Amino acid sequence: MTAFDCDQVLTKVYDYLHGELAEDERSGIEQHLPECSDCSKEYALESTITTKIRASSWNQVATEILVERAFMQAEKEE
Amino acid sequence: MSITSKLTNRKQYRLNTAKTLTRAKGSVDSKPMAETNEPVNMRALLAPEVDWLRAECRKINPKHGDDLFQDVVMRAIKYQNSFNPDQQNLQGWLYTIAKNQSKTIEAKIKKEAFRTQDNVFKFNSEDGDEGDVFEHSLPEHLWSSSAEEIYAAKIDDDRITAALESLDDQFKEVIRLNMIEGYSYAEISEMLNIPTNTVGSRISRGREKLRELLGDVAEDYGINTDKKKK
Repeated sequence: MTAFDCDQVLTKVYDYLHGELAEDERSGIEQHLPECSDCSKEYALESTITTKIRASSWNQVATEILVERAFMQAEKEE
Repeated sequence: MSITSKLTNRKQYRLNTAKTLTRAKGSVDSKPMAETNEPVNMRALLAPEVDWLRAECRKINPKHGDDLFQDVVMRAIKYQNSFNPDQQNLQGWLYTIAKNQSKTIEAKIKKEAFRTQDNVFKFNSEDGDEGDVFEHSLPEHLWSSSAEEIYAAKIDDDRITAALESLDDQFKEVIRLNMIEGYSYAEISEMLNIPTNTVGSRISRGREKLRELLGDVAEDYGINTDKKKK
């Protein structure tokens, strides 16, 4: 597992939230967070912002994209 | 297929969806009715109804309206041969599917087991409903629902939307593709023909800008906003 310091954790926090880190890096961040109050606060805020963005009215996937996904799902099940 | 599974499986369609969207739209618009052997061309019949159907799905199931819409369209295609345009009203047929499918969705959600992986857990939502499954990357022992709710309440929809809209287009685009559409950095890289690292840096810069715009909330978290975040 990769050991991270605070700067590294804060640099990678978005990638972590977006599921873009490899398991090794992800474990390193999860190891660091419980041990670091400052990084935990940063993480909590970024996590909240992430949740709010995803739940916002900005989250309006175009109808045509939903339709195409449905078409592809139907083709897969046929 | 459960909603949760379907949401997971969406990822495998995303890239292909983006690539085929133009072609698919063309096929919908160009053939209004079945011409020869196919008794029903449901894609063509659906084309003028999708906006109406999506709105109805959101009314029927406000919480999962778009999932319901996608399910209804999928089932309409899958069972298109059971629709008789000479004897049935398409909107009525679709509405019936939507009503029934909404019940199925709700039943499945109630049966969803508490997923115990370290990054997904269930909690009671703000309105008290049980059964919402929120993806949350923070390990459970670090997560405080009370703090989350207090701070989340301060960032209302108007505020977060205004902040997002104020971003430069290059940041807005990648944040939307990643956080709303669900594309990975690699997929966005391919779509926009830019390096994956550039995708990551644009997302980071966009999110840092959001942090600046929401600075007072950062202070609520006990974060010193004078200290420049690396």
